[in-house]
Amino acid sequence: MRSYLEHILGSFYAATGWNVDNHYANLTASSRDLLDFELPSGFILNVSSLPTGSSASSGTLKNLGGVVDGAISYFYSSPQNILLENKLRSESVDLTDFLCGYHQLHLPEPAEDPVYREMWRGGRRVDSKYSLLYGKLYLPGNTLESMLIRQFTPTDQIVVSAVSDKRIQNGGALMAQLQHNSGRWCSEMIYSSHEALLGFRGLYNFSVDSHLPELPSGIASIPGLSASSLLFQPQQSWFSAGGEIYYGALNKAAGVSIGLRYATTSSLVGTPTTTTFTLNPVMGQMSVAYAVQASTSTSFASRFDFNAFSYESNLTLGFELWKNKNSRDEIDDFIVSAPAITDRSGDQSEAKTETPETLQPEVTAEGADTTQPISMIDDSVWKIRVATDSPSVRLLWEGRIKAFLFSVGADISLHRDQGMKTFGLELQYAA
Amino acid sequence: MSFQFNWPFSTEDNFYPKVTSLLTDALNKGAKPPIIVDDIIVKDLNFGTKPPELEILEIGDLADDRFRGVFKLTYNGNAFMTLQTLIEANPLNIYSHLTPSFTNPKFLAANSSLKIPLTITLSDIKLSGIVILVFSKAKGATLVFRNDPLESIKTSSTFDSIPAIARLIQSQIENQLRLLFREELPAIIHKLSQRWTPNGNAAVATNAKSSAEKDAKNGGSPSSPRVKPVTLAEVNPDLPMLSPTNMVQLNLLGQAQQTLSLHTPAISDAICRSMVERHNTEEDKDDDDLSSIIMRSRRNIKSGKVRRHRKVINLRKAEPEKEVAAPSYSEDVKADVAAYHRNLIQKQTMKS
Repeated sequence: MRSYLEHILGSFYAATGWNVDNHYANLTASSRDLLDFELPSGFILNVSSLPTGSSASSGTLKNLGGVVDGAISYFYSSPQNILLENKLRSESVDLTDFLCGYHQLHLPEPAEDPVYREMWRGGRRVDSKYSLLYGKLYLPGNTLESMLIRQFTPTDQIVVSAVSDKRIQNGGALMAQLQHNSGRWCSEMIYSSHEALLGFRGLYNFSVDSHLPELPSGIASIPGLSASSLLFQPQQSWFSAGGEIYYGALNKAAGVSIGLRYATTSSLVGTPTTTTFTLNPVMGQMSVAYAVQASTSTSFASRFDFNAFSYESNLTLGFELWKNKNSRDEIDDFIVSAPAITDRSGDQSEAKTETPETLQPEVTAEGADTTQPISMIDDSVWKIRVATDSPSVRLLWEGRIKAFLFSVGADISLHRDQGMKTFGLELQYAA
Repeated sequence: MSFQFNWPFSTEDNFYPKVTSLLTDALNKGAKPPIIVDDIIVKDLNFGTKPPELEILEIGDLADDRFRGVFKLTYNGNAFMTLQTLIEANPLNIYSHLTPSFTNPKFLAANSSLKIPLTITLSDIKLSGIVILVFSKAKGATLVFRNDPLESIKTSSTFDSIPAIARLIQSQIENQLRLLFREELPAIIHKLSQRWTPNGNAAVATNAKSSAEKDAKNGGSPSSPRVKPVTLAEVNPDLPMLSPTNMVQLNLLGQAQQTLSLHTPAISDAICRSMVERHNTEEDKDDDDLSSIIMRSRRNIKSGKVRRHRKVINLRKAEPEKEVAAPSYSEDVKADVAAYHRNLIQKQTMKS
């Protein structure tokens, strides 16, 4: 389950038009969400609220083996026209996005012109840069985390994150990332004060346009015709390549890796798949991953790691199943007419006592343009993962029960005498 | 007086494997640095041909079945030991384990781990230190180092061709060994010496039998013996349990609270906490103020004696008998005063 910080970050990036899939660090995001999902440890309760579109707060309580921890965090975004959205409210939840299902990659679009961000009043420019501030205080341990994101232009932003804790050497650490993200190319420069690490990451998308295509001459005179409406065939697949290089000045450590990704989208044409290949030439580590969304309710992923120097290999398999309780009834209702559906689902929810079910049809005005299938609200998801290097099966159940998001996870060992290694429960509520 | 060493003591068949397994457990007990990713296994152990030299500094106790003394131990022999483990070769992997998680740049593949096997041979061990050696026929023998005995050690490993790594390994191994000498060696020698004591022999025999039975049940998986912690009383049974100087200081401290004197005797390396009677377990039963009732019930529930249930505490009680003529204080202050007086009387009787 994603933390509330990741949820607010996703909402901020969506509101400011920043494509997170273009980062090199998210090259294997689809397979990583299906294979490396984290299990909650102990009992975690998270209550968050978004009182206005610009500020949010969240509190966490953790109980792990008798030790009780807590944390409170605050978010603030400026300027006021950037509205953070709280997708966790029970009326408008898209669980597929929030519970880390198969991550649907979207074709990287060119960034908006910076002219659209200017605000003028009385001949003077009064706009301010889009920024997000975040602070989290862990209460018994006195650790303070903070983050600042500032977007100078629609394609450049800086992210500064810092942590202050007396257990860390020098009392804390700071990391700054300067990111440039246009449709075709995304690069990041990283500096971390812990061991003075310098890093550079870059990703290039082949056959993706950074600028909107220009209309051929002669057609431009026809009013009402724009370039986007001429693109009847939106791009279905694209190929990305990237690399990263790091150098630690204080501990003389260096590392480099390269990665390739081929992603297809749109389930109307075929199943969306993502294939990635990463290579660390210095350590000789190769990794190939394949993730596919077989239907609207199942996804599969597999990954094979191999080390050319030590001949260590590892195969990981992951599977995800969405449980959709009322899918059949609501498909018939939807075909009738769009406005009638909300009434119907409202009646159904009164009839049921256990789980209120809502349906949010994603019908836009230009219904034919959307390449996404109509998203259905799924009630719960089962995730399972097995690997050859560990003799245990990781199970996770996440779902929504009465406006609470539940996440129950267990690590069950296949040896007869070992039993369940870890078990955890996490509750999340957001107002 | 001179010592005759039967060196190396290879009289038992099971001696070297037992020492090897004890040493392996001791090396893997603490937290390992992130560069070592696997258990440290002792592959080869040889005590050499030259025994250590003992010089008597002080003999504390000498009898037919007991012996205690302070010695100066020097060792310049040719014992050697071979260790085997796996180390992490990617420095960025170690970095990503050590850096705080919030400021961790999300490495994609640059921090993948590469494990390299490492074999180290420790030889030319030079020891020199002051040691308290205690031997008792009933309890066995053990020795405790007063200071850090390791003078120098020569490590040769598979990474000798890379001097930077060789130096790093040398320093890490020296630290682990110093820790081993201070903390684990007394317990190991005590455990090994059990075979020469009458009780110990029986214990060793039953241990061997039960471990053999367990091995047969588990289908041959070896179970290494757990090393029992050794208390100072076992090492040096003739020292009194309570130090006389400390008792005098404590008495002075207790008496200082009876007067309004501003001078409080100080006890070095100790924290003085007042109202200790509140946490005294034997006299808790008489305390009937709310905080100690709650603490007692919580302790009982935690230890499993009582199940969690609703308890009604009647705060209105009959007045207890006034042991000391005092103005009317509240209930808990009275109970505190009574407990303090009882404690003081107990201390006086113990002193006399």
